[in-house]
Amino acid sequence: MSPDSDQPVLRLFLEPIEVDLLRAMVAELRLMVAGPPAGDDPLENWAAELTAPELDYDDPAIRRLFPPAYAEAEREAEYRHLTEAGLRATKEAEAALVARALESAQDRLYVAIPIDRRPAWLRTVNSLRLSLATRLGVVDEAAADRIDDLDPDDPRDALVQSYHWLGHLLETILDTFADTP
Amino acid sequence: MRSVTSAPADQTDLVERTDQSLTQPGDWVCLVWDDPVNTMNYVTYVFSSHFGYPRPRAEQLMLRVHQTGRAVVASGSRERMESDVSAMHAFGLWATLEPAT
Repeated sequence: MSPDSDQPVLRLFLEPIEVDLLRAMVAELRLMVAGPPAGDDPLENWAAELTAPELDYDDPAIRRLFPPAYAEAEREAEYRHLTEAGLRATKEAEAALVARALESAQDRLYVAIPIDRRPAWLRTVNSLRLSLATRLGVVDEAAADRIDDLDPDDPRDALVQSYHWLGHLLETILDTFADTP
Repeated sequence: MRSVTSAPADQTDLVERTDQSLTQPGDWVCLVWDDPVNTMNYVTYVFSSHFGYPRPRAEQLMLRVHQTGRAVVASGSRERMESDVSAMHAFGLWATLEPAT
């Protein structure tokens, strides 16, 4: 897939360590929403799809990425039955697109994001933030404030740094081509 | 990025009445709920990108979500609202649907 050369491209300049961090987080997200990665054998992939592991709703990050649509249990079960597979596939496809772009970043100093891939980037980076936030227990504004005041020796400090970095990345992508959908 | 202001609770009734005046009998509504993680800028982007709302309208809805805890962002048939809710979930927003009252 080569990007359409006519469309505007956002160049995202990342340090190698940032590329590595993002790759690791995207790989974890893909594993979480889609199960083990697909291989090259279409038949095996088809079989894998049929036996795709169920989402782990005991995981708060999964509950945050796949929240209920209905308060009423029966309607919610029906909604989930109709939409869950599609939502998983979308999140996985968008994360895969980001992963491929990051692979190509290895040899240069920036990641190129053609404007038609901006939504996939935004949604994937946002999913990473949501997922990290649930791991950090950011369930309300008070908890959000608490992680800003962590002791530098706190073991969660690295996660908090990543969380803030993702927020900065999201805003950077949002602020570029801000007038386009 | 994140703002922690919140509006006085007594504004909720006014906002609810405003929302309901837009719905027809038998309609459903798509509600978006406030959360401490999604940034104001991102939520505004989602409303303008998915619903095609002009930026000022998208910002107004975002602020309503943020200040009152939730807002009706669309109304229509149950099928359409289910599809909107699912789209909101794809963006990572916390959305539900319910019958318009």
